[in-house]
Amino acid sequence: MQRKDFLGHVAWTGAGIAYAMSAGGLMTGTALARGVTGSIDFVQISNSHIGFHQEANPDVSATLQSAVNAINALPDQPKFVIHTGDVTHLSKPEQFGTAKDILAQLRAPLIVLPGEHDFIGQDYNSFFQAFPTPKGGKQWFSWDQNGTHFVALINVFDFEKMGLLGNDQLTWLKRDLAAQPSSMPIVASRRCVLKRSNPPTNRWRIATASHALWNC
Amino acid sequence: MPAAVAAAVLLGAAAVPNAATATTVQTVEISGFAFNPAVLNVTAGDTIRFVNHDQEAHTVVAQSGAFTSSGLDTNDQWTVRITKPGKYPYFCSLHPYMKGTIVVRAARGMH
Repeated sequence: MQRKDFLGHVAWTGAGIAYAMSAGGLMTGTALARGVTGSIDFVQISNSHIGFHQEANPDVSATLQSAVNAINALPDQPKFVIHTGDVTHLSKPEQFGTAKDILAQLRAPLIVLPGEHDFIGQDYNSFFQAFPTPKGGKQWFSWDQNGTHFVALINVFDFEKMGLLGNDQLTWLKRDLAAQPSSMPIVASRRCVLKRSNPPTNRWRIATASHALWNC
Repeated sequence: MPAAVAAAVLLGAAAVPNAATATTVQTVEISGFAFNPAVLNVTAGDTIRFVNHDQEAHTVVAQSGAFTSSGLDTNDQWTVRITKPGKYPYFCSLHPYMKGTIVVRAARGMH
């Protein structure tokens, strides 16, 4: 599969978003499709909701499998693939198992961040056992890749507060970012939180959280 | 013991009077991203049943931590039995703006 075909594919299925770092900043698949040159640096997939079986998508496992197949078919593999939350629908062991089996087929390195659907019942262990963080534990983390500083944050530990990071993480983030040279591009990723507007309507808006930056 | 009670979560240290074990079941319907009724008055020892009618999953989590349901898929039910009088505000941990309250009155003979 050619890159432009891949981009067209994901644009159609919603299977993933390809990103490339360039002199112009972080380019999404749309920009790449417009002819921006350069290899794909990473691919973001999200909200697989393994275990969901309602009308909107009766076979979510097949959707995730098709995304994995499309990414694996790229001639130039991305530096990594990041899954940003809601791997499962109900945090059930078999749902983590299915997701793990499908995502393990990726040729590129995999990073998985939890969503609120992965922490049902305040059970954090099931997620982190299936998808351990690089250093182990229930932690946020950062890493450098090809001149870009990436930050992976977790904002669903206490979801009643609608996606706030909490002081521990903000303190860590401040220190982590302060250590970066000013010229270093930074990409921060966390769960994108949708909040229903008040009074309730069918319109949703992104919950804003102070003090941190998002690529969501 | 009826199945509905056997599957229920039993809360509170207080002994449940015999009269209440002939259990009364009250239902909270979850639909349209809301708990109905939002405020449910029960008697200590009653069983409260939550039924999810939405296509989206929901949970029932007490703000105090007194109870936490599993994830409720479409048409799933979850029951909780509360024996200790008091107010139990709760929310859906997946959609925290969804809120409700269970008000538990003392059963006759309790104090």
